[in-house]
Amino acid sequence: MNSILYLIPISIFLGICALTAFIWSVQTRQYEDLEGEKYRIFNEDDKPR
Amino acid sequence: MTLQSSIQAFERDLGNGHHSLNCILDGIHCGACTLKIENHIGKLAGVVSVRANATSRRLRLVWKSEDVSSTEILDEIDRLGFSAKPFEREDLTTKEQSLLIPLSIAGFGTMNIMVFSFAVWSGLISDMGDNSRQFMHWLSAFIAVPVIFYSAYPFYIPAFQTIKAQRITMDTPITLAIFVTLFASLYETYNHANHVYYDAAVSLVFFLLIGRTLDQMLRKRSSLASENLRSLGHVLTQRFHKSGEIEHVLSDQLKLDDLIFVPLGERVGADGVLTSEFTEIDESIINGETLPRRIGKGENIVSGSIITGPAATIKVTAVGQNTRLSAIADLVDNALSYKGKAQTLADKFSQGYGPFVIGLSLLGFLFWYFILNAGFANSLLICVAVLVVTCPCAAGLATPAVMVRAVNQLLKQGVLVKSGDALERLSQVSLVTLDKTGTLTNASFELVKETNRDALKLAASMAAHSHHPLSKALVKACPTPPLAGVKEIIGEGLVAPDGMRLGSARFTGNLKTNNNLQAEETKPVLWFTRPGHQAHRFHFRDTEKKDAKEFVSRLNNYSLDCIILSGDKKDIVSNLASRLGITQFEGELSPENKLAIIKEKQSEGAVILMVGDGLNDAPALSLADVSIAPASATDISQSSADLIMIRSDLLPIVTSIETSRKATKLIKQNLIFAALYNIFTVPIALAGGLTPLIAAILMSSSSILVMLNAQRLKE
Repeated sequence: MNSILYLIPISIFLGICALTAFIWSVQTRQYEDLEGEKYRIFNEDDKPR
Repeated sequence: MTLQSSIQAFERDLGNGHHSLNCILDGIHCGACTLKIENHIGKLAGVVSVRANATSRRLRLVWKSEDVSSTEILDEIDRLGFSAKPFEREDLTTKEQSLLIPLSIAGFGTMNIMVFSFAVWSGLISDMGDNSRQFMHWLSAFIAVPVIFYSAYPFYIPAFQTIKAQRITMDTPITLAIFVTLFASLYETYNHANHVYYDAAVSLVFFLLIGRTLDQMLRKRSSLASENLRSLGHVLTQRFHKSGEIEHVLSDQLKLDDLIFVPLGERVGADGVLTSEFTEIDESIINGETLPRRIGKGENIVSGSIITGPAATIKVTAVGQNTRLSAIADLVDNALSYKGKAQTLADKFSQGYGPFVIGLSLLGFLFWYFILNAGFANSLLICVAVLVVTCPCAAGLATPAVMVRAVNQLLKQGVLVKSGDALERLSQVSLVTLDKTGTLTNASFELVKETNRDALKLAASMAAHSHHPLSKALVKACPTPPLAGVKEIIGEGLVAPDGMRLGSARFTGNLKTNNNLQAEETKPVLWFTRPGHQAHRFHFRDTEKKDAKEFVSRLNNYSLDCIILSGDKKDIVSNLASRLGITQFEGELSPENKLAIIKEKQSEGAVILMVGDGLNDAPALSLADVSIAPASATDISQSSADLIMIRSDLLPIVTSIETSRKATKLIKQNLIFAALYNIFTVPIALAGGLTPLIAAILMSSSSILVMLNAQRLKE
């Protein structure tokens, strides 16, 4: 039973990591143009200038 | 052609010799177009960054001013077949904060608390100890409190604001339910009770936020077109100063009787009278007609038209609010505010529903506490159960769940739905009114069968030098390499070294009497003269779209009547109508005439779908019960239309009507279900038959059922 004392915080921590990644993606405006992004994958240039 | 001076006002100096500019893109049909721009422009020397947004049709450029100028970049974009107009505002997209972040946090909270709740529920049947359960409860509280305080702000902030203004909206009972549930759970946790309802509170926020986010996305999409439109009348204009020098001012700073100078290719920023000899203007923004019109000294020019002939000097007669462009925009606005009635009805309902729900739950609390002596905790739980179970989630999702699916399906068919309630109105349509040019026809010209091959070949070789729509049609009918040495006199015609002339009747010397001038210039005709031959006349007609005939017959299958309302000549309209099998048509109509006809039909009880593309259609598009504009339409028509067709074919209109009818049926089912759900669950909750947890499960599953029903909408 003691295992949940550290397993639960770990699971919450991992969840927060994923959440942070999502929030980062929203704040860097990756959801602003859902139409254009799917075509951008055809762009050979990996770095958008 | 783009002029340096007109762009500089919109540029922004970023320091280090870097400059930035925001533009509206024209001619963008999909993401592939934006990619083309990014690829080509990104390779230009001196361009630091170029980012095009296919959704909002905007472009942001950053460049080094020592290596390249904004003019060169914009000209390069023109060369790719698009046009970029400078846009004044730095950033409009962040105006409304996205709900994605609160939504994701609420989702995170819901999932994690569900994990603990599940452990507790299964523990209740098996053998979880008191301490473990207590631990789970505190963990849930630890997550729920920050999550709710952060992500429920779209509900409680407006709720508090409306309470201050002594009003109650849909947000009020929701806020009450969320916080009563949260505080009751905290109270229970503190007292080591068996039941807590953090999951109910957090999942409530999560589900409600899903609805809000969908709603926000729909609204954002519909406001973009009008924002782009608003910036259109806003151009940098060259004004003659009293001393005779030219100064650059923004069009809204112009005054009456100012003299302005508008070079070839620039947009006119105010209504005025031409004071130079003559020029040609493109009024496609005003009336959707693609053929440039020749005007002489003293004739009127409307704000928003583009000079396609010799540079013009114009005396300003109306600016800003008083221009024709703005008057038509006002017509649109009026019609739009008229449309809002269905929406206000919904608001009124929710205003009544909110106090009703709160009153009901309060009544439940008082009844159980004072009359049945159920104790404070139990009475409070019944009160919360009522608040939660009556949460209008299913009712709130009933429409958006179906709508989003319908909107996406139509998008695949090439139809953009701008306003959410448009689909519902579309399903009730009984009469379809159609514009001619650009709607039933391609808005491009076709040469009427020509027997004189010799003349045609020569004329086409001259026409290859010109971008005039009629010249293009001539070249299309007879592809020939361009003849050497041909000169184009803009607004007049073409002249070859050996004296051959191609152009207007006046230019080629075929104008017999002055009376004919007006009639000759409005007809799509090109005159061709060559030494030693008789003058030859080429006739053109605009071509109907390929699927126009099938479109009309399929509308008839649905027993929908159609009527053509056109500003064009009556005989041209009747000709087209008979070819397509349409019996009702009207020609030579002004925007006001179109409005009057639609009003008359509406008073006879018809529900009208208007399809049109020109600015002269914009008021009619707004007044009609529902309206569709093709993607080729002018910005203002697009912004007043409910639906926009991305492709130019007509059949998607029929598909839209089909989809809207199916969608409306599903919405009705959903609403009936939501009503039944409340009729059955509210008495049970009041009778104390539901704990807040079961109420939340019922509430969520009713939402899920509504969502599942929406999935039945298939192509």
